[in-house]
Amino acid sequence: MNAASPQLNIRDLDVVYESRGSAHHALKGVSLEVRAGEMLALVGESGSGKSTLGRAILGLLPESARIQRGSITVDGTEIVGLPERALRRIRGARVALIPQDPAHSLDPVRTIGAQLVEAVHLHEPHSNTATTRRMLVGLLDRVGIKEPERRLRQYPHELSGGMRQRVLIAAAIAQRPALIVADEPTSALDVSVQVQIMALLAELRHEMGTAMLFITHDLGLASEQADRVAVLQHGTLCETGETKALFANPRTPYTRRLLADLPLFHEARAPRRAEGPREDAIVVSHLTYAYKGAGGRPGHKAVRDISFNVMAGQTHGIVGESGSGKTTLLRCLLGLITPDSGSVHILGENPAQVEGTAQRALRRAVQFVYQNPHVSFDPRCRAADILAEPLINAGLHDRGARTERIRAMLERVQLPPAVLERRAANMSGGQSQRLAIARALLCDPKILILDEVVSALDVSVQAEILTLLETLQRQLDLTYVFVSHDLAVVRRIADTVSIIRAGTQVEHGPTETVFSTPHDDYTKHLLAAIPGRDLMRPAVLA
Amino acid sequence: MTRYILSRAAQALLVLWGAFTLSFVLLQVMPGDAVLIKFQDPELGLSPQQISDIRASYGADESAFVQYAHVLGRTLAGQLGYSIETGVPVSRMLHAAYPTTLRLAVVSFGGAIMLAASFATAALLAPLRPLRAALRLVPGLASGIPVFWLEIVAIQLVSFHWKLVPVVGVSGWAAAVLPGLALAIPISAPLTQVFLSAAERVMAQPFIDVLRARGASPLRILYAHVLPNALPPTLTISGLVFGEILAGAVVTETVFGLDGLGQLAQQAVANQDVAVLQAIILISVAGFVVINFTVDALHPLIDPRIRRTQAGGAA
Repeated sequence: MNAASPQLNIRDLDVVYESRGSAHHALKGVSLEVRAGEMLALVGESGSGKSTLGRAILGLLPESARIQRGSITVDGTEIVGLPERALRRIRGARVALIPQDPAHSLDPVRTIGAQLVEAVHLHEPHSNTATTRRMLVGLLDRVGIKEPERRLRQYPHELSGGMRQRVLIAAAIAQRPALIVADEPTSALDVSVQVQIMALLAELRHEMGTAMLFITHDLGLASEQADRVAVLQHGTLCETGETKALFANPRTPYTRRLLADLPLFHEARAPRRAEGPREDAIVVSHLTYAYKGAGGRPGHKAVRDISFNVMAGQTHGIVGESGSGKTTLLRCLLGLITPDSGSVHILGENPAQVEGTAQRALRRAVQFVYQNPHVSFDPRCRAADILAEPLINAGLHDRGARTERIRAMLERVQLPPAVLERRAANMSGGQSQRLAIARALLCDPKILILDEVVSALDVSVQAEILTLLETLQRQLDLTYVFVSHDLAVVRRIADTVSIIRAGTQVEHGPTETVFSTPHDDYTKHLLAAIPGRDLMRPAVLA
Repeated sequence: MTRYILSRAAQALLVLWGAFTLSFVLLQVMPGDAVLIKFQDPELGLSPQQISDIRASYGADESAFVQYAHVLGRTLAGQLGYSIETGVPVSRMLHAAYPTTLRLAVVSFGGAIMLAASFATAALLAPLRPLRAALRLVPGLASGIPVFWLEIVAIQLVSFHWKLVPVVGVSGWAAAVLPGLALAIPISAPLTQVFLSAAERVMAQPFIDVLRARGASPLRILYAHVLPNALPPTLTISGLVFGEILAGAVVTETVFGLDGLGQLAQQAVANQDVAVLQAIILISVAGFVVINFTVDALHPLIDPRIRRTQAGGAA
């Protein structure tokens, strides 16, 4: 192949999912190409067909999907209609995949070495294992893994998420493929790890001249990383162009809306409530908690000396990466664990010490909403049952009165009444998150603890949920503790913020102050890692 | 690790003692006893006085507690007692009977594993979705087949009609082939069901897609990756299936006329031969405990994630 011809060329691709007589057009007339050394970002919301496209390129569409029309050529070879056996020789050798979720993308019961050796031997069946392992040591070193010999002997659960993704990248580049499909390769990783992984991918791309199709929902990330961007909506390519030009001057309303929904583009929350200071709903002072090590010895200190106050009716943001102690802090707030030293007061009570009626009252007053409602709901329960449960627990046994309250609550969270008969498993991410908020609100809480509640949602849905939360806060005078790894989201919704790193509160204060004049290096580092900062109007972020 | 093994051994002893005691209580609750069954027959012409003398010589009229203490003490000393029916030492009866049942167990368990493996492969890799769905139903049906019926059909067809495997006048391993394979069918059913559902969960995981994207073939993915991941729940079930082999042995040995532990158990029940029955119960429970211990010990070898937890637990 000469360098000018595209490594990936897709022409007029139509993919249809067929089930029980009904057909769903996942991709309609999609045409695009990616040249050697180039990165094309394929952006779109969930259901836009971006993952279907990725699978089609690898020849891995599910059985129910059919390519109705069109052609896909990878490195000069037509993929459509190729028999399975021939496809297997192409997969992994000429086109490779970097998957979304490094935690579940390695076989948990085989060593890293065994899996990498297998990846090589699938395409070089006669190569010698010892030689392959020596080659792999060099490869792991190249993708930034220290002590590669030791890592080869380890199992996936002994590696961090970022390290697993590096292993998966090593497996993908082992055969020097012409094309790499990277399907949301960093969406499961912390922001600072994301920066490192994206930098590694850029280096490898330039070094090896590999074409890369970067599938992502994150426009900010796409704007920073890609040479060109293709926007996919409902299976149709609505806009393709050079990254800078496309973001500076989006041609279609859909792209404009996607950009407008980015939390980056919202003003930071203005300091509110001119009516003067109110009492604190939450007071945390010098909170320290250590998990007990083996044999009751004092173990790893999960949180150290954390202090903050949340005024009633306001939102406190807690920002931290995985392992920073966010969960431990929340468990202390909920009174599930007792701090080793320091104190927590919620509405004037110590949640770890109240008992009996007072404890039940406090538990109702502080409600918790999880990141992933699909996991926290019984998937076979109807929405009506999910919403009735807190009311029954509160002693409201009159069916009519319950229905009344549930209907009023649905209106508040802007869900149609028809949703009551649906099962949790059949709802969209946005709908089930509204349902989770409704269930929490049915307990008449004063405080909502929101744990990464918009992290799994598309930007447009994310924007809707954030607006809903702001409205509810005004209407019901709620106090929020908002935990997120996404600084842009926190900046939009929080009045005050704590930045936590390895159990220590590195920075704390009014959101605007922390974001505009960060003191701590870690905060600066996090702010610099927000993808798509360049998209922000200079006036918004100083 | 040593501490873990010791605690498991203590648990095993407790289970053995519990099974022994429970069987003793159950046998006591039954009306009548072996002595009455044997000597009450009017044709023997024994007077009530003579019968009660015999009963006294067997200790049958002692209080239940004294009998229990006696039997437990004797068993702990390694004495299994004498059959009331034949007067032969129980240990000698067991010694004569166990090889037949062991061979039956080995053939049926081995057969069940091979059957489950080949069937699961077909059910997971068959080309069309409706075909896979249909194959998926078969193990459920197979587990509903009555063993005795299956075995009678097997004798009629395989042995008498097709003359493939003789069942008359054979001994040793040859005698175990047909009954073992017949018993393997119902035993393989739960193994297949559990393995299939575990395998389907594994196959829904992202790493399977990643392997396919590297160019691995479905068969390679199944044996090198799905199998080790789906093995733990299947192993647990295979420990439980051992009980089915013992229960199946009673029926199978009767249908095929084999002199094994199953046959012995059946006769001992009919005659209320308490000593024989208790010995068989003890042996079965011991086998069960050993098998399940082996299963638990194998888990960490398969799944490296358990190794760490267990090391922590034993520390």
